[in-house]
Formats: sequence, C-alpha cells, structure tokens
Amino acid sequence: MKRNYLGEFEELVLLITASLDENAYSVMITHEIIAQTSRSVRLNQVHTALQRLEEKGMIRSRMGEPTAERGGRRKRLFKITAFGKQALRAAQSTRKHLWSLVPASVKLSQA
Amino acid sequence: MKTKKKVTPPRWANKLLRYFCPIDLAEEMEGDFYEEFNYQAEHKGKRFAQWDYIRNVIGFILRFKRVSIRQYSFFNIDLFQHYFAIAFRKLARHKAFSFINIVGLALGMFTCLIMVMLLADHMAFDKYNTRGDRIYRVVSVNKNLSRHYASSPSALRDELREKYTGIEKVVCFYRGFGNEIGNRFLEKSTIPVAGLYADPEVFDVFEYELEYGDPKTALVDPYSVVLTKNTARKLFKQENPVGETINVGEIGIYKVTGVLKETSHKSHIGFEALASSSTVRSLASNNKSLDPSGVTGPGIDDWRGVYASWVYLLLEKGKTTDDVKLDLDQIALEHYGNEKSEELNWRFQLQKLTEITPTRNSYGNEVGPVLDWTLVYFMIGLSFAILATSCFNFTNLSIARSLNRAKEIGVRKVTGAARWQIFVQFLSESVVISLLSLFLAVILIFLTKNFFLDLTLIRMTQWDLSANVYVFGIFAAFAVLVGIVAGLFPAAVLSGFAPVKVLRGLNNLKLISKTGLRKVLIVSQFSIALIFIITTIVVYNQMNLFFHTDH
Repeated sequence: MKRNYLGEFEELVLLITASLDENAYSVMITHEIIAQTSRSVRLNQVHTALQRLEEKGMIRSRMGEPTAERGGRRKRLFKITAFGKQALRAAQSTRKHLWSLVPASVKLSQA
Repeated sequence: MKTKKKVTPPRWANKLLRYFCPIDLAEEMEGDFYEEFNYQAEHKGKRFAQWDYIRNVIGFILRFKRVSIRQYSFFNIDLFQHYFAIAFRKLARHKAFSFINIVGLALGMFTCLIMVMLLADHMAFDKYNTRGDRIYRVVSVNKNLSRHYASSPSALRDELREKYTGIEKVVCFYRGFGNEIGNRFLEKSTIPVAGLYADPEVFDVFEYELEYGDPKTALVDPYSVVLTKNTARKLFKQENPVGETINVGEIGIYKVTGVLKETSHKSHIGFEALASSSTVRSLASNNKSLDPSGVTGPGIDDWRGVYASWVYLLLEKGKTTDDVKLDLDQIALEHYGNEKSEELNWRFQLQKLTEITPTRNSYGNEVGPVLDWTLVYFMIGLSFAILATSCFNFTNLSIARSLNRAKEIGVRKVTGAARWQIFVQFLSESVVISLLSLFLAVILIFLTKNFFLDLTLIRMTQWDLSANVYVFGIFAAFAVLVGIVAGLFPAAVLSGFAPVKVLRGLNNLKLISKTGLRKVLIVSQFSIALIFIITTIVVYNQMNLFFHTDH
C-alpha cells in the first residue's frame, strides 16, 4: 500500500537529504539528524525511512565510489527528486496554513 | 606513528548479516554498519561500538526480514511463527485429542529416554581412567571348553612381574572378600561388606584416590581393608574410621587402613571394600578352605587355579599388545604344555579395559555384572519398537482428524500456499507436539527416577540415570526427529489435498483413498502392543515361579 503523505520522521530525513545535497547517505544522515535535532536516532530507522521515501519516488539513489572507512565498500547516495521537493513544500505550506489558524493566545503561551 | 590495534566488529554478527542480508543490499549495508562501527569505536569506545554493531545487525535483520527473506531464502521466520501459533491454537481447541496425542507420545519417549539414559550411563564405565588405553585384562581361553573366562591364575602376576618386561604394573584381584558382589542385594547376610582382595598397585592402575590413609601402605599388610566412602559411612559413626576394625565372619578381623574418596567414576569392578591380597596367602597357610582360590581351584600359587582371580596389566608407554601376547603365549606353553588333561590347556588373551563393558565377547566368571553388546542392541531395539508404536498412534490420530483441517488447507492453497509450505506447516506442528511430549516425558522421568533406581537389577548392575548436558542434547535432537518421523505421513497426505475438491463440500468426499498404509500402521501397532503385553505377563509369571516354587 502506497502512502502519499509524509510521515514526521520521513519528512525529517527528506529535509536532511535535501540539505546535504548530493552527498547524502545513511550514516551521514543519521549523524546529521543527531547533530541538528539532538534526537537519538538509529541507523536502522534511517534505512527504513530512506527505503520508503525511495518507494514513493521522493528520493533517488545511486551507488557511490568505494571508500576506505567503509572497508572498501561502496555506499548508496541519495538525492531528492522533484516530487520530493514538491512534497516538502506541500508539507510546509500545510503547516503554515494550519499554524495561521492557531489563535494568538496559544502562540504566545508557546513562546 | 603509533600503530593502534585494529578494532573489528564481532565476527559472528558479520556472519549473521551475510547470511540474512539479500545480495543486492549486502554491500551498502555492510559498509554502513562498518562505518558506523568505526565512528562509535572512536567516539564511545570499542565495547560500546561492538554492542551497537550487534544491535544494528539484529535490528536490520528483524526489520528487513519481510523484504529479504521472503525473496531470497527458503527459511521464513514469519511463517514459522505463524505455524507455531496455529499449532498451539489447534492444540488448545481440541484438548482431549491433544491430550491423548501428547501423553501417548510422551509414554513412548519416556521408555526410550530411560533406556538412553541407562545406556549413556553404562557407556561411561571405565572411561574415567586416563590410562585406559594402556590397561588390559588377561582373559583365559581354552579351545576345549565352550566358554572363555575373564579370570586368570594369580601366579601369572608374579611370573609377569619377575620374568618379563614391557609391563609397567600388574594388579591382581581375588574373589571372596565378604559377600559376592553381584549378589549383595539379593542375599541376606550377617557379613557387612562385599568386596575383593587386591594388590597395592590397584590405587595406581585404577586411579582410586584415598580420602584417608596412605595408598602406599594401605593394602600391604595382611588383614587390612580399604572401604569406599559409602561403606565407611554405613559401618562407622565417625568421619575417619582409619584404625578401626571390622569383623568379616570366618575370614577374620580386618583393620581399616583407608577410605576411598567419593567419586562419580564408574567401573565394571564394583566393590564396597578392598582387602589386601597378602591376606589371601595368610588365609591359605592357616586354613586352606578359607583361601578363595582354594575354594574354586587348587590353591593360591597353582597355575590350574584359573577361576578365583583377575589379572590386569598396565603396559609401558609405546608397547603394544602384540609384544605382550608373545610373552603370554610363552608363559602358557611353559605351564600348560605338559598338562595331560585337554581341559587344562589354557591360553591367555588380552582384553582392553574400555571394552570390558559393554563387551563384544561374553566371558564367564566376570568380576561383576557386565553388559553384552547384544543386550544393548536388543534394548535399543525394544525401546524403539515402543516408540514406533506411539509414533504410529500419533500418525493415525492426525490423519483421522485431517478432515477438520481440510478447509484450512484449501483456503491456504487458494491464497497461494505452495505444497511444500503446507508440508512444512504440518511437520512443524508435529514437532511442537513432540517437544511438548518430551517435556512431559522428562517430568515423568524425574518423578519415577527413584523407583527405577530401587529395582534390584539396576542396583546390581550399578546403573544410574545420568542426566548431563550431553544426554539432554540427545533428548532434544531425538524429540525433533520423532516429530518429523511421526508427522511425515500426515503432512504428505494433508498437503496433497486439492483445494477445489475440499472447498466444494466435504460431505460426500473421500479425501484419503489410500487407506492401505493406515491399516498397516494400525495392525502393526496393535500387534506390537499385544506382543509386549503378552511377553510381560509371561515373564512376570515365570519370575514368580522361579522365586516362589520349592524345588
């Protein structure tokens, strides 16, 4: 079954993938999420999210060059697709719209 | 530059990953985990990194099993979980049926396992001896007599000691100290112990350890005796009875010079006490009728006295039995060559310590009860026959109930199950049942253990139900095997159902047309059961006759 909306964690992964431009791969994404959001994230979660995103066509992958720190193995590099960008923008605008509906009193108490 | 010791992820986790990971994902996954490992090793240390690696690998396998295993492997964890769940549900729903099935199989297993345990115990006899490969017993053979004897003349010991080389130690046992060992549970006697006379070398050759007393002197003087710990406890109140005396009826008063350490070692030489062999000579010079070799033979130093003593050799390192055989032939020729009577024309052969029990050849006049391989095979056969009947029973019950499962199989097949999957499902179901039966059987064994150990036969042959890891390993493998064997036929039949026929209606449908095998199973099951019942009754009546009839 294909879901066309973005899950919360998927959105996070997709955003990080976009921010890392062409160099995004699982281990780097994991560490980036930890660094930027200070959530504790496991490699396996990121694997799953990347797999789902790819199934939905929001990211595209190719195999990179073998490197020494990986014991001479290649890594899978991810790149955001146009559909992925569109989904991110849609998510953002949905948020913005919903956020604008929130009454000022709630917004203030949040801050 | 300082060379740092290279840190690597645990090897087994790597293997696990290679095994489960689909080929096209392998490279990137291994790379990811490896990189992460190095990162963690640098930041949080080696131990943490290794744990983290294991967590990652296992997490990956569990998460990706749907993708990887279904596509690339025959073995599917999900499906097996499902099979076991279904198996337990079915068992819970048909309680009476499950009960009969499990208890039936458990009883069959119970007999089989008791047999396995007894045999496993017996196989350990004499295996404790670290020099067992160099210890041999001299047996006496006479081509004019149909029977060969485990005993040999004690004069042989002195001859070998004084005139021949290549033998490190010779030990001789005489019978006749106290009660007969084999009969000690049958006879009611005022004599407190059953044992043997033995040479002082016995401690060395058979690796008996003394808890109290000195092995060098304990069996040197006449009328000294070494007790087993158990016997010492039975006879004396104090912990260390060395220096006390025991009265062994006609054959005198003996001084306790040692107590053996309690051990789990088992040997075909069973005794409660060992008296010094020098006693025999003293008895012989005082009163010939008390000399044990004089009772059954012509006397202590006489070469014709073959029946009262046993001689064991410890060969020197590097010597083979061939060297000693020549010497033994030489000795036999010297001492029996001139005998006029054919019946005294003895020859000597060697029997390896570890082959004394269970034995390939049976010898007369054994030191204690030994087991024959024929008997071993017979008992194995017997218990497997019993197990086979319960397997047959299981098979028949499963087939009889197969109509209940027909619809389920139909639906499974329609939704895409392959025949082998149904086959595996029913096999795993029967393995579950047999494991439950094993559980029950083991409980039964523990409940009835003491009863079995009380049986005279078991006590006489000093059997024990030994339960070690090894035995339990056999049990588990055994249960799985039984499950597979018993479930093979039902699984084959049930997995062959045609979904269309089954789903169209069960009423006027004959699902199992080949009832031939079922009939064979039922008939053989009943005949084996009847044979057992009849044999048991006959043997029981015969035994009653033996014990209670006046001759």
